[in-house]
Amino acid sequence: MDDLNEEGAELYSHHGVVVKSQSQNRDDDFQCSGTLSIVEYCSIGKCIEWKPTEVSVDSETHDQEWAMVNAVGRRNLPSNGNNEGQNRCRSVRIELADLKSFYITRNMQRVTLMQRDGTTHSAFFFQHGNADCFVAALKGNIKTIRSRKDKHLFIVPDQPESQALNRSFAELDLYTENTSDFVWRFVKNLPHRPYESALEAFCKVTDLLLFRPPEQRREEEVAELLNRSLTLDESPANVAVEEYAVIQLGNGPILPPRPPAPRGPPLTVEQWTRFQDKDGRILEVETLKDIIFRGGVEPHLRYEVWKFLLGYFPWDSTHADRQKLRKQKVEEYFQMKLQWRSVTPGQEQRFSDFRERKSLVEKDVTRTDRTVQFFAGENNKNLQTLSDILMTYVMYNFDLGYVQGMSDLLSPILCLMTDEVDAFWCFVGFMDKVCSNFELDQAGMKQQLQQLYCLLSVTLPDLATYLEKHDSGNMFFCFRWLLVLFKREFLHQDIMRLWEVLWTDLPCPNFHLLFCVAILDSQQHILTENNYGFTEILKHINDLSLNIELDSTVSKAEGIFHQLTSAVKLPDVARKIIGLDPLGDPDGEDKNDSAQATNVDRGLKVEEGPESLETVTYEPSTGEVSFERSLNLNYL
Amino acid sequence: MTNLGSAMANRSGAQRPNGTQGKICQFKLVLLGESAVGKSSLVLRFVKGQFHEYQESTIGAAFLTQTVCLDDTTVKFEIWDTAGQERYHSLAPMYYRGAQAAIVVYDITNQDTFGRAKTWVKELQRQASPNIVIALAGNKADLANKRMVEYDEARGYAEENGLLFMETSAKTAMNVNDIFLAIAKKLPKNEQVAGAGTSGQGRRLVESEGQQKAPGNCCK
Repeated sequence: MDDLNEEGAELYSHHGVVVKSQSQNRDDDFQCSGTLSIVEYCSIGKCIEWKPTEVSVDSETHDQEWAMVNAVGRRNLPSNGNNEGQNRCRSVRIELADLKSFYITRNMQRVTLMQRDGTTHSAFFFQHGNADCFVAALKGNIKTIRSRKDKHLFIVPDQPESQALNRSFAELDLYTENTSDFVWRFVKNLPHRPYESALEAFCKVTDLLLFRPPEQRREEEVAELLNRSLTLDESPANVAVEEYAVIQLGNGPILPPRPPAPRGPPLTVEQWTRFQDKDGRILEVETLKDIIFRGGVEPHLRYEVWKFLLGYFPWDSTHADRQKLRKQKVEEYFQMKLQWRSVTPGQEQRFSDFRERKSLVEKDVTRTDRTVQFFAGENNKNLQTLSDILMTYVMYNFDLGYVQGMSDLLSPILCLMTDEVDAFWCFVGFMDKVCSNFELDQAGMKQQLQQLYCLLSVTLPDLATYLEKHDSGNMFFCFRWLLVLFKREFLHQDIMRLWEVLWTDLPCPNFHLLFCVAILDSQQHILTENNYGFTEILKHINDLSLNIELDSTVSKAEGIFHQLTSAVKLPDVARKIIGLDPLGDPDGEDKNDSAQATNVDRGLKVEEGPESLETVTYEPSTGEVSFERSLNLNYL
Repeated sequence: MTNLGSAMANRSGAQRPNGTQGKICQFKLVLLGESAVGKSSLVLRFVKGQFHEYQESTIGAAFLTQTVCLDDTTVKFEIWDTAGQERYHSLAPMYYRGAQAAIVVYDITNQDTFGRAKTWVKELQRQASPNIVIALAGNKADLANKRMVEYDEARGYAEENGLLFMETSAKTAMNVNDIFLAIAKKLPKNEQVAGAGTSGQGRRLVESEGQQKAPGNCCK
């Protein structure tokens, strides 16, 4: 926070408000207690300010409820921590003019503040009493509207825009009563309206009223450029996209209510032992995976179980097999390691492909998870191991080489395994699952973003439409989530839990995409009611890092899976993404088989890669509009 | 444009007491450069005044805003911070097209990154808006004892190509605010020039009544 040269007038203050720091720490949680106030300055007007009063590391000392807010699993800070301590608790100042909305949860004890540019100040937690007084004080200074869709969300209406809107409607002289009430009611109800045409028409009016310049808006252009840079075909198909979106609402699948999907306890040592025969073969793998899906694995058991989940050890191998296998793998590893270790400086100088890869590895190793104890401090030997494994992986898969993000995937594995060889082969298993994310042409990422939009459009059609209209139908704001499988969004302990859940491949393929949908489900009203555009959406989603609740989100994702499996008229493309058999044409069971076969063929092409999609044509009569839309390459 | 402008002015001025007259300009700025030269660190220093020795790599993109004051003008930067690795090059045009300013960053301790910076400059000159203001930043100036790129070499290159140039250090904060301020000064702030943009993404420029600049965020 910048220091102002003036004393502000304090309008309100509340002590004992705890902030969870937004530093990049993935290893532990820490929070600071401080004072939240509303202060008025001559120069910049009224501000919300939070200033720390104490620095605390051990969250156990705080009251229970707040501890619950935090993710499970904490470790102590690295004792040799540099000046992080001071960095952790920075004062916060938000000008009221910049406040877009706020979100209150946990019995009025937790407040999240969101700015107009998409910046999210996560979680001010009121230790003593609750946020009632603060909210009342806030309301005394600015106009707020409670969201009708989400009772926790309060919007600060955009002053000039609302004035413009009111004024314009008054000028139109359409309504004799209180025009502003009518307009606002209309605006708030808008997303509920079933008639897409009305929505679209109104959007146009709104655009006009908000004095958008006739040229493309900045964000549209950015999004369009993104689309262009990611597509193979340059011809614009935006018009077609709009049409699909319009039809989709009336014709979309009907989803049943979302069933609860309770989580379970993690796999225990006793259970794990019971699943093995006397020779060490793992029996009833599917039952075992089901336990892991539902609750993960007890932390000290991960070391063993991950080797199976990542395909390093076959499930049906015996103790003896594994001993033999490991011996082989050790040899194989050191053979590859020797290859790059024996490159002489002279060779290296004449071997640019190798040099490039080595330089990329070096650059990333020094900045991977350095706040995690395992990698903290100068001259940490674990960094050398991290580097050695990545260099050996370069030799294992030289064509793929090293791509940014890989060190993020390796880091938790190495922390757990500590052994270089075991960590390497587990990493290889993980890379086998996600290597398409790192391909040169980005085809794997493109496909996943498309599939994500497809699943979103059947699960949360209103949000999908909103994103489309706000230049974000390309789902680019989820790029980081997918590239490193949420590694940057969770603390170390949580990401281990999430990954082992995802590695079970239960309850369906691409469950990680449903996990994305589940996060977006919880953000839907914040995104739409704040009227965020391309940049604000990206910023808000980036700012969610370390503020996503793991278990409830997995549970929600599973609930969504059950909804989709029992949905009426779920389009085949969506069905295939989550591993369900295609239905063919859902309406006409008597239709000829060849037509259905064609449909299936088309659907299958999706999974083969984007190149094959360009020539696909659609038949709107099939009613599977949402997936046709997602097939349209030009939107990504 | 004028209408949009007045809307902007009202919004920003809504919570502020009456004061002197002022203009508000909004510019899109993009950071480009080889991986690990310190793009994110420069932004973090400029926007939050922070520095992390081991700043993690940027995946995808980050977007931040910061405001600076210049005489009677408030300049709001919309900053796109990008991933540096060549693998993600195909995403770059989306960031720099329509940008009114770019900072191309290299690491003074690494000659290769300077070469890469030159390639970025060429690409910008060829493909970005013709009026884009480009600044060249030789970052990690605190590591002068490991210097591999001479100051004069970089300055000469910058002069030849009409770039702003400074050596910076996100670690010590040296020249960080200065380079953004220098860009703000060089950006056109009158409506005629603003309208001449090729991208159609107008620089948002307004004259407001009852508007005072916000020293809280600027004039540091």
